[in-house]
Amino acid sequence: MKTIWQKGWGALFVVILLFISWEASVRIFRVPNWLLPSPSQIVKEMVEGYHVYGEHLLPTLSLALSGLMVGCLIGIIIGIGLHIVPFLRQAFYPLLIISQNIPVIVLAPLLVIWFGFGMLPKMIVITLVCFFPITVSLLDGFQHTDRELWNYMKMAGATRKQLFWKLEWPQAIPALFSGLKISATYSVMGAVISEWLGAERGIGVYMTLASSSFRTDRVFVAILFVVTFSLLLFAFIVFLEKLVIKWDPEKEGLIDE
Amino acid sequence: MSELVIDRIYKSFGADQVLHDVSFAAHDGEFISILGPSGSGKSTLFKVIGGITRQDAGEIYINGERITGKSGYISYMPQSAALMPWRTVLDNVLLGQEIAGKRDPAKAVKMLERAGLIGYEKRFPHQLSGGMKQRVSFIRSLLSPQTLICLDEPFSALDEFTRFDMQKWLLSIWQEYSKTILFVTHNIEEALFLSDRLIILSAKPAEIKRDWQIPFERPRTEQLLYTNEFLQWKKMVYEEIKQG
Repeated sequence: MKTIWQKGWGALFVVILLFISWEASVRIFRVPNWLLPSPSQIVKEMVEGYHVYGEHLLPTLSLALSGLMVGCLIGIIIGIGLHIVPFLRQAFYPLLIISQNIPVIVLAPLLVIWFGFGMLPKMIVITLVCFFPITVSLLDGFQHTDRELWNYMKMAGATRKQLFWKLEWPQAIPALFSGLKISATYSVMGAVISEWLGAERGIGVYMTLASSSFRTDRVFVAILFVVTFSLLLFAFIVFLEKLVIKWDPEKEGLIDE
Repeated sequence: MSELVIDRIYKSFGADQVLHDVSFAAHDGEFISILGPSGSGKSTLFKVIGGITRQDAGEIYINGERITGKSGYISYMPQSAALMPWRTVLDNVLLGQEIAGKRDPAKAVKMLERAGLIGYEKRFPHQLSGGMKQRVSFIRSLLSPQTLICLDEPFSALDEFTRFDMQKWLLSIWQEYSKTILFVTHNIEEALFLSDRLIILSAKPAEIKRDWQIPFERPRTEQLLYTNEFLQWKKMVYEEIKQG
């Protein structure tokens, strides 16, 4: 806890300063509520408006989580596939990059036309957002396999399968986690966008309703929850990382004889 | 048990000839040092023996069996310790056995104990010093089922004090196990102190210039380094290398 405080006090200070000047500006210049609510008004809405937004929170979180899981799985499968078969890598890598250049917001209405309003188009949106960082960082991790260990294992007679599971895969795990962290934060955004396509409940729905009725304070409440969920998922991945990676990939040689 | 025969190996990378007519035989349990200037193709020779680099001409036999282009017959110990950072010391030394298909943790623990690494089995490589990592790497080679171990300048990254300790340790542990060792180095003293035989390679393309039997009696101690005979040998080897 002490280190978090030592590292985080600067950021905390800036955020508090930002909120104070925001609050002051809104009061001094008498900015109307529908244009920009003050932080205190947003907090008030958050406390008093739970009966309005309460039902919208869990659907988004569970959508983001299930989308993240599907995205992870697909990202890992594509990463491994492209690594094992070099031909596939050459053929599909440009396509992967193109898939990220199409704005999701443009693609979303098309997905509705093709797949209707059910779960499928929503999952496709989140998966499209989530798989890419995982695939790219995994491929990057595979690229940095230790040559000397590779040579050692080859000379000892290791099969391709052994080389993959004993060397390449564990070596790529730290890289996989950096991809996972990015995907985890993207997944909430993906879930909100997919809810704009049409859903009964969710932060995306709440946000649309709020902005169309000029309840700007509620839009900010929605933003606050998107940020909170993203941070929660990020923290969860960091926790998993600490659990899985017991070795330290950065530091070497702590003891000297 | 394992007699290695290297028969007229040639290897070029494009126009760059690296190995030129390299032939020698290693007998069972022999300790052979290969000495040569940097970049003289010593590492290439190991990769050819290990079956991961294909030579242009020549054959390699172990116990009369032709193993040219096949891997799995040697245990290689590279310059860096090349340990897996995500495995504990114990799991690292068992890697060679795992590749061959059977793990024997009890034997591994016994060997770690002898190497003064008891209490470190559950540690990770980043918690070890350079000398300890080299010892772990060497134990991994000893535990592997292969009887031929190829060491590629294993002590070159260590400081002088640790290096000498490691040399003595290597000799003591090698004498207990009947493994054949090919030891690449560019340190003359190290080569003389450790080996039964000394093969001197020329600069590129590498040819065998000399193949000397080293007469010093075993077990060898530090005292050997100060004898007149040792210094004579050192001078002779140095002269030989200087001629290029």
